[in-house]
Amino acid sequence: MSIKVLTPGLLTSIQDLGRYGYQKFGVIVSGAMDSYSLRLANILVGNAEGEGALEISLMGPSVQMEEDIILAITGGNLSPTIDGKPVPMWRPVYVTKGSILKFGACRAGCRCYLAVAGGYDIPLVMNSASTYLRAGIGGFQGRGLEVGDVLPIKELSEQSLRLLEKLVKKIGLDPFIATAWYIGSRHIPKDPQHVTIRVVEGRQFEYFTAASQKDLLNSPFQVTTQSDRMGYRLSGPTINLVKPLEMISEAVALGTVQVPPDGNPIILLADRQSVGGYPKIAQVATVDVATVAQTKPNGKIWFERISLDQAEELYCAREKTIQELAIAIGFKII
Amino acid sequence: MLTFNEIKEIINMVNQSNIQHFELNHEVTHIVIDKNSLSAAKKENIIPQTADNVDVLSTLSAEGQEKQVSAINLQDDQVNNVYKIVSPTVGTFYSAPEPEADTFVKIGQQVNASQVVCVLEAMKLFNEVPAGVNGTIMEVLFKDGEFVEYGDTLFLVKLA
Repeated sequence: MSIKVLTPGLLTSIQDLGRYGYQKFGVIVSGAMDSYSLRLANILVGNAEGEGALEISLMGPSVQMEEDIILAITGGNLSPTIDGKPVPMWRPVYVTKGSILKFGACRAGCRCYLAVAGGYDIPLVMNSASTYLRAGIGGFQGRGLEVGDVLPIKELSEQSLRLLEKLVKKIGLDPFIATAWYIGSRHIPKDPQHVTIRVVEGRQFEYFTAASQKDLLNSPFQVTTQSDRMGYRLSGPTINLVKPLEMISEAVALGTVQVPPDGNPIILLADRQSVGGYPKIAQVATVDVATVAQTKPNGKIWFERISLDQAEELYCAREKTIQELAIAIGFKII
Repeated sequence: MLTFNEIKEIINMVNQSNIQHFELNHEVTHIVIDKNSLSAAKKENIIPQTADNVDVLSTLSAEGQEKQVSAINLQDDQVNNVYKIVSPTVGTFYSAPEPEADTFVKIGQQVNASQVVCVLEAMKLFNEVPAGVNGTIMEVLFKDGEFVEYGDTLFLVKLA
């Protein structure tokens, strides 16, 4: 079982939840920019949450099913279609052999995730299926997909097989059939010019001027086009230190907002370095990293400060939601 | 304030007795039960008419939830032409795919059998409800955010 890449799109790569345990050796974590959408895509098709999926950014690929496939597309709305018919997102879809899945205009969000039941059959590197593009490791041959690539698919899990049984009965003559149930997508920003991102104070917050602290939390910051999987470079009011700071490099995390000498903050994302020497003014709450990832270049971000306790509560609430969804989907498939 | 269970008991008791008309005022709760136009055994044949023929029961549960039960008149010539879209699950009713989006359907709109008329949210999953018949939407019986039981009538459709 496999799918074939007819056109690769702008940047399509296999990502899972990241390569953990090796940062101390300088190995970058990478992984899905919007891990929430990735996890749900896997749950929808009956995979383990952390299975590798295709991360598709801004302009999608066209792929052909070489067998009947169950897939799910989550994340931003990149207008997926088969034979010109829109493919419903956020739910399992049974697609027949030979069908070609295409993507079109980016209507909401910025990137989407294409999970297939069974998962992509690629060798793991340091326990992860994620592609780290700069080092050329992991994923499909360490790179983004290209024309002619064939992605083999592993065997279906028991959960996936049950889902298959349910869907195959309804298929008829259509190229694809979807379930009548789906997951909501509230974290995808509705207005790209007004995206609110919740942050906790960074380790060096106090070293910044009062005016800059205020600016960070009261002005919009535009995501520049020099933004990528490593980080989003923002432009807005310049953020200034009270006085120059000689810092020893220390650990940075997913969502760390660091400020280089030019005063333009950078939100560190999936392909970030393991340590950094720039002062850190804020830390994006884990639950909102996915929202950052779904903001396109030229979108505008407004930072809202919350406490660490609140950030933890949001995190726990979201984990609970994911668990509940997994259970609910399990019942649907019985 | 009466609890949901107390109200449920009152309805059952009146239903099982010979009382034809019952009214109760208790603090913020006002209950009116009228049996003259309602035959309990023939619930399946009940078709709504215009607004002024409808006697509406309104109850408030302890949590402040509203639950509407309609007592309606039967009109012979309308019986066979109206189809009830019935809920396939318990859940929360939403008339639109997203909070600020347009509703799936409007009153007076023609629908076909596979067209989605609403979604019901249960355990964080959204379930699309298709019309099931070709026809015109006559009435929407629930509001956004209201809780729906299995088998509740959601929409009335005038058959094509």
